[in-house]
Amino acid sequence: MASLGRFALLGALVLVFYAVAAAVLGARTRRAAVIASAVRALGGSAALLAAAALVLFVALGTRDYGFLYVAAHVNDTQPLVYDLTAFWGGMEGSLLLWALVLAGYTLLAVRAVGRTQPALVPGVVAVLGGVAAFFLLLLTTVTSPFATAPFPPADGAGMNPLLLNPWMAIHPPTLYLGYVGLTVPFAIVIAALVSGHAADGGVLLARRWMVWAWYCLSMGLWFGAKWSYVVLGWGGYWAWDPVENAALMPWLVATAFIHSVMIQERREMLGRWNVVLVIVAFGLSIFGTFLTRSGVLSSVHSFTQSSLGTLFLVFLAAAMLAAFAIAAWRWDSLRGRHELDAALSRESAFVLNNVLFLAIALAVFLGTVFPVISEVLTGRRINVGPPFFNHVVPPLAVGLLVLMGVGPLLAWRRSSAEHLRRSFLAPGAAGVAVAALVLAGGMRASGPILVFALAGFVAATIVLEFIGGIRVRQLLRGEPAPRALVALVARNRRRYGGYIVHFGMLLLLCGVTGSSVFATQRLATLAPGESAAVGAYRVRYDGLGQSTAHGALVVGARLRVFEGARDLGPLTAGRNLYLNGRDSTSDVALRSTPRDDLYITLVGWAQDGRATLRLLVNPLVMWMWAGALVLTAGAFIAMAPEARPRAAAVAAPVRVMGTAGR
Amino acid sequence: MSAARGRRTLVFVGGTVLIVLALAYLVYGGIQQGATYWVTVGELRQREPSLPARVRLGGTVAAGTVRWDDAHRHLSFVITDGTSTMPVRYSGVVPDIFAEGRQVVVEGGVARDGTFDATTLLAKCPTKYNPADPKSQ
Amino acid sequence: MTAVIAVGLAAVAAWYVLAPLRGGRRGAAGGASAERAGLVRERETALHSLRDLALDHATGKMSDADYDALRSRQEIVAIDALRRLDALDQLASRPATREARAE
Repeated sequence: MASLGRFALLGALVLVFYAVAAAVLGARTRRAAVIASAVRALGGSAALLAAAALVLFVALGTRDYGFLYVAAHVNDTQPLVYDLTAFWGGMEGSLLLWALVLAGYTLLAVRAVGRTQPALVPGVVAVLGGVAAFFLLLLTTVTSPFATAPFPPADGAGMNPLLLNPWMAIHPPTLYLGYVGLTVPFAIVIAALVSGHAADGGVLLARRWMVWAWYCLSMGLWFGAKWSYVVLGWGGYWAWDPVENAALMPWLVATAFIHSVMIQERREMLGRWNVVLVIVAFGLSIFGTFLTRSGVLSSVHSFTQSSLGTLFLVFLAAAMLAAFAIAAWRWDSLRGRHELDAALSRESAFVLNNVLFLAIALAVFLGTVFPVISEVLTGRRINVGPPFFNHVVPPLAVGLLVLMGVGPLLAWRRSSAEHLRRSFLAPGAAGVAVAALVLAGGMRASGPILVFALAGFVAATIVLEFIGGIRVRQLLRGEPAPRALVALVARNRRRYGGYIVHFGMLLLLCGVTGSSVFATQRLATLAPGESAAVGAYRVRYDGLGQSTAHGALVVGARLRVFEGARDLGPLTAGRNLYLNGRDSTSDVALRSTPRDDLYITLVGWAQDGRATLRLLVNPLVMWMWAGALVLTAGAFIAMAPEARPRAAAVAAPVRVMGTAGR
Repeated sequence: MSAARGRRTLVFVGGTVLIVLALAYLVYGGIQQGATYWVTVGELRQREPSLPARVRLGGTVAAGTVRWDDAHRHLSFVITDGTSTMPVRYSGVVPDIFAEGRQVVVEGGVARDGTFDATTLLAKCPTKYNPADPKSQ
Repeated sequence: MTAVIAVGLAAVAAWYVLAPLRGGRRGAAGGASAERAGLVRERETALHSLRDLALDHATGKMSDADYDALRSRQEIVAIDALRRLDALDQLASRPATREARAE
């Protein structure tokens, strides 16, 4: 079995090498048969990778402890479904998943590119094959998932209990779909640059893939945050850990690209900038993998330095050097046809938006690698933690929030003062109204008031955008409002899907602001029958209970929650003590409402039945999760293919052209 | 036309400079707020007086040294880098992965009695960062 | 046993990958349809931009002069794509011409 897996990986490696060579040869000699053979080689390597993955899945599912990987990540008490998710619970398996996802994307991308821009196929095959070759080299030489033990253990070590959670089961694959998805736009853009004549079309073709990768990254980040919140028991969802930042950076750059590519489509500007963004986003995806796998920046600096880290760095440097060299070679062909006309225009708002996104990405990058930079510069390792990020990122994020509202109001090319006054009046009033409302509600911190007021302003602009569009349709076609709304969104999916995504981001930002600024917490040691007050809640402790489940002893504190005189029902805050004697996990008692989350963990207990509880009230957390759902809806609307223009619409410009074109 | 163009260029160059300066200022402020030195137990023992009051200390939790008070509110343990050791005192959220023999990072300073008063305790997730070589596990 | 499977897999893979190279079918068949697909895409993109521009103009996001200028650019692109599409379709309906061109 294991040798079959090893062989499949080796075969896949041979095939991708062949694919790269044949693609280059076919492009040079212009022989379609050679290129077709290269494409088939990629298909074959994908099939072999799938076979290798199947071998590993079967080994995990049957608990075949002869595999070192299985013995390290599976044990007899673990639920079967987590045996399977152990596929991506360790380094070797996660790299195999990476290669597998890349192979799947490669097949789809080659098909899609072959349909519309066949000239780019050899380049796409060569780049995707090259990236696949790197990961397959790692899998066959450095970290084989199919290493075997001569004397298999009777039982495996199993995964860390913290990873045995549904959110953690889907978090890595989703994140990988995003990370690896960034490779496809990169390949398309490089292929377009090399082929020389399709630089513009390449970037635009890359957009679709970038939006998909962006969406997967968003979801991956969301699942990770959710896991951190419900499993880790510290009451937060984001800690500016290097591993989290590694996924945030490409997300920021991809977001910048999705915005600036609109300018390229509409005004044929920023072509060079977009090429750079695509390359950087890919580089950050490799850098992120490097960070999470090498341990250079893990929370503990004395961690094993593996050879894998060096290999990733070498690959990253080579890929970036080659990509930027190619971009420099074709730099002149990327010149835009227009320049910015006015400082106050839709275009300049987009440019500023890009600058802010990249500024955040740069700040996150600096903060993440600061220990390394400072060690090189001063010889001392200096860490900047959450205080750094909390100081730098919020002002930039507020800038983006302003732009999110102002951008759609601005006219293309230039905005007249009159136009601005007219369109800012209502949203501005909405913002002021929200500010007055939260002030009246007793909020005094200036930062959150600003954020909520701006959120009100942006929400109003979004609503006005919808109303404006509906009015236009009503005027032109006499449709009733609900039908006009549906038609408006269906016929302008990208625009209105984008607005819905913006609305999701508003909810998310409000949730983040509320929960990070207004969280309250206390630690209380209670005897049975005693209560502790936190926020508007009173929590009564009714004693301890014990049970066993999945190889763990579960100690639970029975709680009852009151708000004023109202009984809100029972909760249990527990702690799972695993039989290996050193692992323990929290079972958080969580009561979510749109207003706030009551979040209770059991910290400890004494012989006399007293228990120590950590009680938190996190306002508005639910809005974050709701924001992610709204974002999903908007992203799917934006990604769905545009409705085809009807025959009449197709004919109309022809008639106009009869006069305008001459 | 060229005058208007020149003014526009000026606006954009000025804007860029302004943004870069603002970012540099933000980053500088952030570093001032968040910077903490990273030391090993040995370094802390050797050159304690010359170090800033607040440092980040990395090491392994020595076996058999983890003590809780009655109600599990305060935690004390000994952190080691293999040769030297340092007692640590901490009260706050203890990560679930904290255990004897695991690698941890504590942030804080050395108190008068020679104990390290930690305000933050981070533990390394053991499965998330596997060493490259499975044999070394 | 594993060795047999491995050799079999390798043989199948080699046969599959190398098949296009054994002459016979020329791979250029996809050329015309790909060109057509590219043109259709170009046309759709241009038409979509036109619709987007019209919406922007109708909601007051663009001055009349800018709208006219941007619209005529997009119209030229759309018309160009339409003309080339027409030419391609006429070419396809006259096989004789196609062969003559293939020379």
